[in-house]
Amino acid sequence: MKIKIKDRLPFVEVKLLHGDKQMSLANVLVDTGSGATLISADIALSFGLQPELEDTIYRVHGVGGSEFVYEKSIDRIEVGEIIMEDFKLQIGAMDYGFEIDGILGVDFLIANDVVLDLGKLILYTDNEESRC
Amino acid sequence: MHWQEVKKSYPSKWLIIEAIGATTEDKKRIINELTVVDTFDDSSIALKKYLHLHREFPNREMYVIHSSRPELDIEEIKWAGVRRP
Repeated sequence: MKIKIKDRLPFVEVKLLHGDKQMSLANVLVDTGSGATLISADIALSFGLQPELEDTIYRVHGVGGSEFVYEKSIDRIEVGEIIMEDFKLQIGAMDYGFEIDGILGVDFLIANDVVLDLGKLILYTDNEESRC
Repeated sequence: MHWQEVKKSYPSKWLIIEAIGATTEDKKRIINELTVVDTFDDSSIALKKYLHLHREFPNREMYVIHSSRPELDIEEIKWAGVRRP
């Protein structure tokens, strides 16, 4: 999967499938400073992933303030050849003042033995089991 | 108000709540004092209203939550945040 640099930050395209819906998110930040993977609430709502009673909820706190997020499981997430099913991600306002659809966090990167090659600007896995 | 009072006053509703007094202990967000900003029957509409309010007032600590939730169990996680040139 090709990494594109925008505003000096690394972004990849991520495909999400849930129920009978699918969507490609063009601007997902690859972020080793985020433990979790996130998508914006607007995208979540279009998948029918609205808040439910039993959701785990969090306060994400850091530089620039705090925000409420809730956690959901999505049927399938694809980043190039890497595929995960029933993947837990967090949903939040993600109102950071620039175009961003989601954050690919350390949870996804570690689970798939992801290698980030910032010289060649590619993201890939060495783990055969993570590949489709 | 406290969460147990909110639960009694707004049964079976989706709520936007705002923390007025809160602390973090051992990665748990403890909300000692809160107000109810708005009430809804549908969580999608509650979330959309929250998004609107969060954009307008980013410093207010608000949550979308159902009043049937037994406790305000909110975990706190850290995010370094994005620094752009």
